[in-house]
Amino acid sequence: MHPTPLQRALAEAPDTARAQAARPEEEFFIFTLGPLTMAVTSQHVREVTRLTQPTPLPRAPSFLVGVVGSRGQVLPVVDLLRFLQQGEAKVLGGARMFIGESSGLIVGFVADQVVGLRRIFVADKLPPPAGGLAASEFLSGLVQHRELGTLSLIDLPKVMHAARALVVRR
Amino acid sequence: MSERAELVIFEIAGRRFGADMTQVRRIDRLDVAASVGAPLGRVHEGRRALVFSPDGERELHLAIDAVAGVQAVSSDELRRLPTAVGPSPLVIGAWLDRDAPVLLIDLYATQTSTAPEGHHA
Repeated sequence: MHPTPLQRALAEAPDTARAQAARPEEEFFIFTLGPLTMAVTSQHVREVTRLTQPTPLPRAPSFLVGVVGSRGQVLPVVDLLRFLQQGEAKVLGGARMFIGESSGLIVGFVADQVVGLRRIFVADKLPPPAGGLAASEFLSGLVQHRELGTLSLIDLPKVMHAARALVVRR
Repeated sequence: MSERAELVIFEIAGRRFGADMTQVRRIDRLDVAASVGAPLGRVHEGRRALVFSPDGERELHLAIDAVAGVQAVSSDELRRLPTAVGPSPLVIGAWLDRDAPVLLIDLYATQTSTAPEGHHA
């Protein structure tokens, strides 16, 4: 007796749901600074806190706005707008600081507003704009986000290590 | 028991700094001829100076606006500069006054320094 179509289909049926084609995504920490909305991979962000007025360091490059105390630790604070040569951050009362961590380096970064965490499909990442802008070197890409507009994806470890190299070289 | 040290806390252009008490000979009127310049920023008033002597003979003056006092601190309250900032001969660390870092200055290193750069000038 020949099996019916249903019996054939049942014979081929898997025991569990087949995995759908994976669409890789990454989690980003998103914040605004000046006119830009920036995103950094969340694995490099340790903490977000209110930014107290930094203590300026003599002879420091302009992107290093100073040091602050945080949980008994002294942390350098970087203005990403200055570092990327995109203007300068205004450290106002409501400013925030997120603490980035990479290979033993711990650095605070100024943020105007914290948007939060978002998952972004890797396939949605566009390459950084060409043209030799200083900022492009530290961008891992751009994303056109339906809700948030253009996101600049910052390569935070690269920024931290380049910033340190610039500071130490002085 | 933690080490203790005494800091001279002083102000330049509205910012507080600390120096090792043992480096300070006295606080005196500024002698411009002996001044080390403005390595920590330009003073507002600048009529007073921390007087120090790296070699024990020649006296040098660091112009300041005011002395905020002498502070005894324990090593628990002191911090080295963060790795990301790197070593600096001028700023040797910080005293955490609650959560506000007060930069600790090696007065002897000010004699070879120049005016601060960037937005701190």
